[in-house]
Amino acid sequence: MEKKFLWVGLALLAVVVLAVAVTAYVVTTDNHLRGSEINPPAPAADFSLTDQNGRTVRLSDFRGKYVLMFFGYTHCTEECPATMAVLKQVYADLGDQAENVQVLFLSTDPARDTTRAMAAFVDRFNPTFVGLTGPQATLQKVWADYGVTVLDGGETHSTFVYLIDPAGDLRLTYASPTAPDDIVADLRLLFRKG
Amino acid sequence: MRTALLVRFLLTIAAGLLLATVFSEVAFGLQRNTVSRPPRTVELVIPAGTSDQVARGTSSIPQDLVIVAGDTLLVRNQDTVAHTLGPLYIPSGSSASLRLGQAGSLSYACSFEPSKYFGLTVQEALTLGVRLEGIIVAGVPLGILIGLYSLIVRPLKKPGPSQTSP
Repeated sequence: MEKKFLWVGLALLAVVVLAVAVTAYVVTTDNHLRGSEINPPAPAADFSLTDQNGRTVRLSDFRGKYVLMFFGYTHCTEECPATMAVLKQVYADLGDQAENVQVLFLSTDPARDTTRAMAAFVDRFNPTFVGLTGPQATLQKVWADYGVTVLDGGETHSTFVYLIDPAGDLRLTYASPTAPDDIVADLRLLFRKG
Repeated sequence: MRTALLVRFLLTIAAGLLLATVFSEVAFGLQRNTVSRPPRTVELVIPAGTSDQVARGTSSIPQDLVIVAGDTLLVRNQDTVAHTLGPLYIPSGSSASLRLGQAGSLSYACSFEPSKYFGLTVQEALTLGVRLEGIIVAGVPLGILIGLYSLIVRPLKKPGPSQTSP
């Protein structure tokens, strides 16, 4: 009789262990992208702007890398530094894989976002981040191309993070508040898929 | 003796599950921030010509949307320009989809009327699985506690000599 109870107990234990293993497998092989997925991926509109070092930079210069792009202004004290801190965390979490990713910060306030202001702003987060500014008319076209609403002289603006793939196609966007874990998980999934 | 104990606990666990069913269903009934349906895809279409309406000022922001946690919000943009709707940016001729996993109330700027905000309420999904999970999690321990209490209040009768197992 005691042996019968022992076997029943062992069988129950085996069922529990199997259930935990199956659950762990399902959780770790989650193939869902966490950002908002663009389908079919749309070609990301190219632009030519000035970086924090005064050099002319085009979006197409970063073909071959994943690009994380965010619009904001250097005098911002809320959303912009918060999102840039998220992108800094993404870089840190990716480790060596971060070399396949480039962060671009595009101005919504070109009147105050000089190259010097851009350099000071992006260096606070990561010296490899690129801050881009330019003439109002040039930026207005970029804002329109990416559906960025800019009001109040640039202080009110859309806060999407755009993920562009190595082929130059817009694949995902992230609405605020953006979680670094979501971006890292998506990038790792995209790295695996190639 | 062992069979009687087993029967006692099976009965009290059944009673615990019954009580938990009553309590949880009443609690779910009183809780208004839930929707009784499983997650699904909620599809919206931005029709061609929307950008012209926006330019004329005749476009209006869509009604606030209430969906269930786990729903996928899918928006198709048939217009000639990109639009933003809630947490989605949708390029022209493309679609954007997002699975909304967490309950909460959100508000977003929207390209239809940039000066106004689009409200998105994500409610907790109340599926049969969630209901059953609640009943089992509450009912089994409750039944065991009732069983233990019953053993104190009404102990099992000791078997007579003829009932003793060899």
